[in-house]
Amino acid sequence: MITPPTATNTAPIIRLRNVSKTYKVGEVEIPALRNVNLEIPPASFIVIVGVSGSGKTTLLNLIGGIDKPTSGQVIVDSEDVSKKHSSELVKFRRQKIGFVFQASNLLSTLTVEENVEAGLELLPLSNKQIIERTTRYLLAVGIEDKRKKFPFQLSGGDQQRAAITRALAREPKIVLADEPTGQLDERTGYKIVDLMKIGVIYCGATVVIVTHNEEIAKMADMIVRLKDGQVAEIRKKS
Amino acid sequence: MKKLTIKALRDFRQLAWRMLLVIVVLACGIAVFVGGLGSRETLENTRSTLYRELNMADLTISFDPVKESKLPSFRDFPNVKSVQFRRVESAYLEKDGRLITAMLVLLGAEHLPTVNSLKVENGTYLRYYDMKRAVLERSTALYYGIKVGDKIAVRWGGKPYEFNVGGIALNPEFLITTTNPDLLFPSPGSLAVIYLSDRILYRTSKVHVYNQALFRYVNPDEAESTQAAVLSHMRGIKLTKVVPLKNQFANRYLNENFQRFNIFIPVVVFVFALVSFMVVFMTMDKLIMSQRREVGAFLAMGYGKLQILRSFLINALVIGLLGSVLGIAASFEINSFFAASYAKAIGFPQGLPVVDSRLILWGIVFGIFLPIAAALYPVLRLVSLAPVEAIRGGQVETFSRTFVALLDRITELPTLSAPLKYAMRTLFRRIRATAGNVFVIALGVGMATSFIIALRSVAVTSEKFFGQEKWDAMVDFDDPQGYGTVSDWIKTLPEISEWEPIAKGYSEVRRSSREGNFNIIGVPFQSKLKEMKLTAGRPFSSNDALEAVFNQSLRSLGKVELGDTLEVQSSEGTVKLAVVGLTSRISSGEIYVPRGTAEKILGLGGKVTSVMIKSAMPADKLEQTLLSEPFVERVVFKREMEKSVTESISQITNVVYLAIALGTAIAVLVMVNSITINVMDQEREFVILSSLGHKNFFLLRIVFAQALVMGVTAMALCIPISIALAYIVNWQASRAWFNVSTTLVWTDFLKVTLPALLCIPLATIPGLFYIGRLRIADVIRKTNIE
Repeated sequence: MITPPTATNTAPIIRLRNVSKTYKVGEVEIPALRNVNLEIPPASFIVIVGVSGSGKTTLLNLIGGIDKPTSGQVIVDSEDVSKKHSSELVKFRRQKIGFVFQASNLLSTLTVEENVEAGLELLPLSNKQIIERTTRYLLAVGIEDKRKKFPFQLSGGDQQRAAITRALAREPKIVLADEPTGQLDERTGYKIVDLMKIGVIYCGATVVIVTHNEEIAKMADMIVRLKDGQVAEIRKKS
Repeated sequence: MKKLTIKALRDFRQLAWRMLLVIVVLACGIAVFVGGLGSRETLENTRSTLYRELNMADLTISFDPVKESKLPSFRDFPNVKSVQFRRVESAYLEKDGRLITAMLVLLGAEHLPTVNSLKVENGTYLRYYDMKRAVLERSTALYYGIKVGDKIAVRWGGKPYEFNVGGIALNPEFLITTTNPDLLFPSPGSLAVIYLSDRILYRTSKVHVYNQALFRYVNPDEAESTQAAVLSHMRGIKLTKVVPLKNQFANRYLNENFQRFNIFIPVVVFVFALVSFMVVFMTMDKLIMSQRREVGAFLAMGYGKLQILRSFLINALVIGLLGSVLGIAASFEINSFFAASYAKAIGFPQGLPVVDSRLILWGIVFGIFLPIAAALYPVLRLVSLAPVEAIRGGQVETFSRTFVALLDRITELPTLSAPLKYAMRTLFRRIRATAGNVFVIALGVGMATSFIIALRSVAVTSEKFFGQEKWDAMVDFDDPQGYGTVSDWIKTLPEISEWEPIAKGYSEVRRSSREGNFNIIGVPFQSKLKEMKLTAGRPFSSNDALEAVFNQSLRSLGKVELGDTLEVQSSEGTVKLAVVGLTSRISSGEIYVPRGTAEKILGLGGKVTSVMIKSAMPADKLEQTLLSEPFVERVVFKREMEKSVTESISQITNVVYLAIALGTAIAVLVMVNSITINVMDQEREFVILSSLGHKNFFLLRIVFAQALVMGVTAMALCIPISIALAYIVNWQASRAWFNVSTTLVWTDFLKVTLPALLCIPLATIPGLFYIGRLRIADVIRKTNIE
């Protein structure tokens, strides 16, 4: 059983201050984010929406520390991610972040169970703990019966479930999901979003999902709408 | 086991066939490297074992016959372990109506000689009371098919004798045989060595008379000082020839010839190393590119670069280990094969293969290092990406887009068929993989072709060399003869159109700190029969000028240049010769000087040692005519020398053919592999074409067209590669033998490229089977999931 957290803290877990990101393609500079200011509370389910090219994925990548801003500050769990060295970022991601991508990005030569365990091997856990935690999350996500299967033997939805299990099992403070339902049908998509909520409910994690699906956005505690690299709207659930 | 390690090993299983190809190629390289060089160790070990067991002489001194009582004693002589006196006589063995130059060695029948002992392989040794008994040296027996119990006819001192062959024996001084020590190529069977009881002579003279002394040293490192002491001790005896072990013909020949292993083996190893590197590189690159997104996800998850690097290098390590094990195992076979082929070719005794632990260690180091080095670049390129870049996926194609665009223009030709157009575009889209595969195929075929070119180059160079020599026969006298005597004798011979006298003999030659015992050949000033064919400098200025033409094949004196001074030891002291010309000849161990100068150096007092003859007479008739003169010791025909060189070249053909087979096999394997992988990569496109209504035959044409484009491009590329490799092989050959000029004949290129082109349809078979088994629904489902 996954036990829900008891203690809560209301101070923002993610804070972006005047964050800008510009990509350089040859001689051309393409601004992806412009002076973004944003605060995300802990243990919440956040959805970032916007049209293609609005800067959603860039924002997610900056929060996750897999990309660096051109200017501004990205503070995650009191740590200034924007100032971190790449080796410090590795440690940061290991300890605090869980990723779910549009494509499941599971290693094709590892089984579902092994893919999940591969994520846990980075944490200071014993083998027994790794096996126990893997089983717990596979059960919670509902793919325990498919633990011995290889990714190519699974449907798209199950592959994405396995990827979510891999991210949640590490019990990170923040789960970042980039279009996790992008390649799935509507029904399966909703199921996946429901699963993501497990992270908020049972692990006290902050889940940030990037999507352009307005229906999914309705399930969020807070919606951040991006337009042309800027925050156009922040709407909190009443 | 860590999950990334499990992943690495499963990747290995998934790419089983490609990995197997890499392992086989790597193993071939290691096997040739360890086995080829190991065979040289085997041969050297056989030689040194025989030298040790049979007490090979460290010094051989020939002298005018001396009674036993007049010979100095060497009892307790410093550094001399044992001494053997013996009588050596020139004779002829009569075989099938031919006279074969023979050397009779008269030994005490009571016991085996203490120095240059015999290892009787068949029959028994000489017997004291049986003076009709002869023991035959093994290569002579082998060449002429003479067995124990056979009778042999010998002409000795102009009289015929008959002996019974009682034994066949191996002697360390005749591990190879030759009649012409001036030419560094042995001609098996051209010198018959026959051991007889010395009682044959003792019976009439009642005294032992010897003309040769053999010395075995305690410490061979003190050879020079011991030789000087021995020579001083033998003062008063007229010495005719002093040959230390380092100058002994068979020993020197083997030393020079073991260099041959360094001609082809480095090229084969280099090509295999390059091919292994390329195949590992391409395999790892493909593997890494296909897992880029997944690896990106792991990097994002918090995996370090080192962990990712390690997981991919595990594959390279496994390839290295398996390749090394397989290669080392195969190297024993290669070792035996090379050593046995070589030994058989020159009549060298076959020994047990030697396992050289250093070579094995180097083989393993090479085997492990190479795939790791090859895998390092693609892996480093991946881990150097930021996680976000890796996750984004797509091709990191650094190859010039302009170049690919240019290639695409070719496919716009209206005359191209649709399958060919499709095939070419597919290949151009994967330009890096295509270029790599084409290069590897071209390397394999190029290596095989280069060896064919090298073999022809050696043969043509040798042919050219002999074409320059205008004489037909070289006649050596047993003792120097006066010019008048020779002239009178020649006048009595029929059909001799031209002749020229030669003065030759051995002498110590020194240049700076290097020295050696060389054959000084005194050629007539402005000779018509012996063309010097200088590569640099000028001919002699007069018949007695203190000048020399240096044969560049003599590596033992270092790099000699025009104007250098050679110090030659003569009977009257040291003579300084200026190097005025350079030549490069097949023969080795000789320095040319004007005849008058040679007479002075060799103390011949106006006499000559040999004559060159030009005659239209048939060779066998000429030989009989010349040998009927008692002072003629031997006759060497240019034709025979030419044959010896050709036979010598054929010694290495086994090794070369093996390399050719391996090179072609690599090319075909890579072709099969790359075409199959291409087909597998395009399965989605193929099922789309199928679903559009194209028949399987259309798809087969595409596969065949891809194979054809790759094959033809590889064959075109193999031409410059084979020429470059042939130049390297010939350069190596020039260092071991003589200056080989590269000869290019277009038919040589076809010898490998044509069979390789014919293999193209075969190479497509696995790919065609794959297409035949494709199911549209399965592929579409699979690619959708991906």
